[in-house]
Amino acid sequence: MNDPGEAIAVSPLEAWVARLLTTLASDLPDAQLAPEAWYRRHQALPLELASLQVMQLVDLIEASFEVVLSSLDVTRVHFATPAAIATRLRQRGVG
Amino acid sequence: MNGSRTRLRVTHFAGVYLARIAVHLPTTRVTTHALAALMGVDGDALIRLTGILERPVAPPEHATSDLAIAALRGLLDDATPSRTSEIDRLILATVTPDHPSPATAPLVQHQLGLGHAPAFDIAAACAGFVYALDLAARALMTGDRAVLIAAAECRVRTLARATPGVRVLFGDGAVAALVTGETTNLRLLATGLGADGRGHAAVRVEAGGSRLPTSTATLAEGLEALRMEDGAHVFMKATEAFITLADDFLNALGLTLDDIALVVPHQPNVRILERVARLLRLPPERLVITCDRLGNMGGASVGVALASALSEGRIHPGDKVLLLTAGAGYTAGAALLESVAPMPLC
Repeated sequence: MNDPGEAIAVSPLEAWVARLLTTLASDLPDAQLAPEAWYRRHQALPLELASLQVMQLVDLIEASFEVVLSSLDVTRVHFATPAAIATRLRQRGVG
Repeated sequence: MNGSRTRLRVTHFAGVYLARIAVHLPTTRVTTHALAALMGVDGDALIRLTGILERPVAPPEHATSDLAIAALRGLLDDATPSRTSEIDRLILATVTPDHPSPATAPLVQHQLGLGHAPAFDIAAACAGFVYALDLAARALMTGDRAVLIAAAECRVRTLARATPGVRVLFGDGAVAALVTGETTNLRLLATGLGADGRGHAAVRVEAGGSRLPTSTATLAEGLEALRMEDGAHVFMKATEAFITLADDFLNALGLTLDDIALVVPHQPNVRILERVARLLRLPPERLVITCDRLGNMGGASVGVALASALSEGRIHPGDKVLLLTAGAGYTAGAALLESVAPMPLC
């Protein structure tokens, strides 16, 4: 467990994913999109483009690494947060 | 005709031809920018994320039967006068029938003056055209002289309360084909059909059936509109369905993609097809994409795309053409065609 006030270490891969998410989120009229909001029902979002943006993210990941993601990767659990995405990518041999 | 079992039900056919094909597209086009303005969202973002620029939309006075009839008349107007009496069956693929009951096909049959030819609907979603083609081929094998198949969807008006990400995808339209045993233009070599009901809830209209009849409560929740609860997962599953279908079907036939001159897929959205093309290493000149201008027309999409390829001269005698469809349900259907001679377009 981290000590209070200690910076939580973020892996380069997780930081890279987080930067991508920021870029994609800024593409929306409402830039408040949080990763976990991707899978919320449309009532929670001003614009239901989230799932399509997930696909942009998948394309960017695949363009950056030697990996092809599948429906087993793009799930609520594995794509919930930047950390979860990074964990899944590491499981797939990335990073 | 003989069959083999893989994940697909693959059937080889001999002596089955698509003699004619006709399309009806409503003349009114709604651009994605106009649709986005109506929904209060960013049109450029919608286009960037789907690749869909515009779609045909049926006028309010027309329903699915009208679209199907218009396409079918295109076939019959060019046929000999005796042709209608030789039609032994009408199969209409649609998931947007005029009414929940009865089927739309008998109405179409009556309007076309097809006598007492059997007429029925099939609901195989975006695989509807290929499922209908498979059924027509089987009917010919058991004695029918000629079968009319049509796939028609009048979907757009049902999406008024769908999410923007769903609403942007769809267009209205119809395609029809005359399937005969006479040696004509496009020969049907094989079909491969399958379904996976584990995905039944992924893309669904929740209300209006026996499970959940329409009520004030369902209307209040907008459950009459098509929903994709987990669009990213559906996107991935759709991509995988196309790739697996192509692999399984061609493998069962002892072929590879190198044997195929042109792949004509269902048209879910441009981004899915781009991903499929990338993963299959399929160059653009061997893949037909029409959804950028037409949207997703459900079961009609693959037939409309086939007609588009024919009209653009992209299919030549001797070419093998692969139809690939994957849809809600999940359903999947592939067909292998071989061009025998240039097809007259109606």
